[in-house]
Amino acid sequence: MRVVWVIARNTFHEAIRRKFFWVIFLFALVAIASANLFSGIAPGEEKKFVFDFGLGSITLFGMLIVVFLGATMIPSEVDRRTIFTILSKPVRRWQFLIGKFLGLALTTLVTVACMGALLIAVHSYIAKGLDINVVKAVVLAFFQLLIVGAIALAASTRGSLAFNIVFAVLVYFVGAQSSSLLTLAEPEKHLAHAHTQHVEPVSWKAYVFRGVLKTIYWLVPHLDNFDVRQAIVTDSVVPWQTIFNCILYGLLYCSVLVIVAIVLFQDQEF
Amino acid sequence: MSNTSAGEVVVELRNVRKEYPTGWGGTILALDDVSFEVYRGEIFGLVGPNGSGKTTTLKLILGLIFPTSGEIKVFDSSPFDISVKNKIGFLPDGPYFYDFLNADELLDFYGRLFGYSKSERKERIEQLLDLVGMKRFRKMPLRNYSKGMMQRIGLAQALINDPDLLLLDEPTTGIDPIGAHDIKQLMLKLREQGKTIFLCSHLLADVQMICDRVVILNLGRVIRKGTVKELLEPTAVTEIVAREVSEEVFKYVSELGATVERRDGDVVFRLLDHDRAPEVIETIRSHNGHVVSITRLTETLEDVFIKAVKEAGAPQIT
Repeated sequence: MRVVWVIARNTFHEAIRRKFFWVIFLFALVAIASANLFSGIAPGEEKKFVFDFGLGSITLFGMLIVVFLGATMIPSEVDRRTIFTILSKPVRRWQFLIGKFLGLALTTLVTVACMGALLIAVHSYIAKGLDINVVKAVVLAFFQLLIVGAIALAASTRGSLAFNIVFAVLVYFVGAQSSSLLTLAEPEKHLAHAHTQHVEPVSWKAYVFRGVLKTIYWLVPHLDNFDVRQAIVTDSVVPWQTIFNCILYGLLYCSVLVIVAIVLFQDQEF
Repeated sequence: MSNTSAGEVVVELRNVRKEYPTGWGGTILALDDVSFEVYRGEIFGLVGPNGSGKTTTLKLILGLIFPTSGEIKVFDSSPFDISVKNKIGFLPDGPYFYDFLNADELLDFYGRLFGYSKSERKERIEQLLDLVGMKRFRKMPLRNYSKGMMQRIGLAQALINDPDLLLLDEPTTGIDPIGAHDIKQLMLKLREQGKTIFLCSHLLADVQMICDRVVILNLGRVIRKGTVKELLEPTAVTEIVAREVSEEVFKYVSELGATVERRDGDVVFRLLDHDRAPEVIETIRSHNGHVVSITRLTETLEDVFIKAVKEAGAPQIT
């Protein structure tokens, strides 16, 4: 565990000393802090606008940070040959990879915590009080970003930098629409009017297409479950059970991704 | 650990073959049937032209890549055995480290990987920075380091665990002559302490000067191996240094096809045929000259290297 922590700590330090990290991070903070200035475009809905805009900023800028950090994590170690001196020390490959993931997780946590704290402060100022739902939304945003970072890291054990970035962003967007995939794959179950209309027999092409969609649905992370913006802007209560389930799902999904990454990394040659 | 009459074997390669995939099912052969041993307490040199397989050999010993076939043992264990890595230090060619760190932080990071306590790390870092002459630059970020400074700090990180086996890939590249001399002296000092040094270098004069045994690789195959003395054969060239040499002697020796050079008041005759040496010596003496020294020259490692590579076939550029 000591070795894992040493790698994680170094990964965190490296991440926060990168220029691009500070550019995106400061840009995100400015965007969240200035959300109140733009809230005038939605009179009477200032509170909801600030929340929506702020959480959107956390997700977007957070995603840029985790995708870039995750995608460059292993290729940059190999390109710079820093991995040679680390793996020639008493460091197991799995320790190196878990350390890298934990370093990424720590960076994501600090980033989201800072951006989230600012959003909560701005929102509380507008709403004249703390809305616990905003805190819940920030927590879910962290786990959503953690999954995206784990995807980028897993891809980076084998792929090139460009592939890793494209792959992670693609999975993010598909994952954010995962319930739509299921609707497309099973229209009879999900479209309300399907019960009242005559159902055409499914052709083999449609059958294959639906199978592919279902497979993608089960493989990609269900990131739309983490997005509780709709519930919050409609003043619905987000149950703690939902938060707990999402956290559990996020941790399990990340664990599987890290295991996949370890397997891919184990016989990698440098 | 296995022992032979030559001593305790620290690194052993037996019939090692390494192929790299090139895509579409193709492979490229990097090492073919490579076998050699490195003994405790020696400075072992691995030399060869570019692409001969030196770095591949180093990576196999470090467990960074996997052999296609054959056996590799380091301290009688697999190179993938984590306990082996506690005894190894490695300096890669053209090292690059986390450039956001300074020398203190970098060495502290590597020290932490070995589980040293704070006081142990502090003490070790002081010693190493002193040893590689980098104390003045300890707080400077590595991104501002010159190539030579990077090489020095690379050597310090390789020594952080006081390793029994030190693997050095081109350790003097980019270093000024004084720095290169210091590193060579350090290698000799480490050998005196019983450490084993595995040196990959293009600088054949350095290898000849400090290595006990040498392996020459070409196109992934071992083409020569042995002690430096075994590899360097005597040549037919004989050097005779003389004083008070008359003009007649000059004329006579020049007619034999020898080269003549004046050095610090002495005259140096370099005869291409060793068998003519006795008559030249006799001629010098009979003309009241004094013979200071007679040396039969041996090949340099560079001569041996070039001859061996030419015999084995130089890499073809296609």
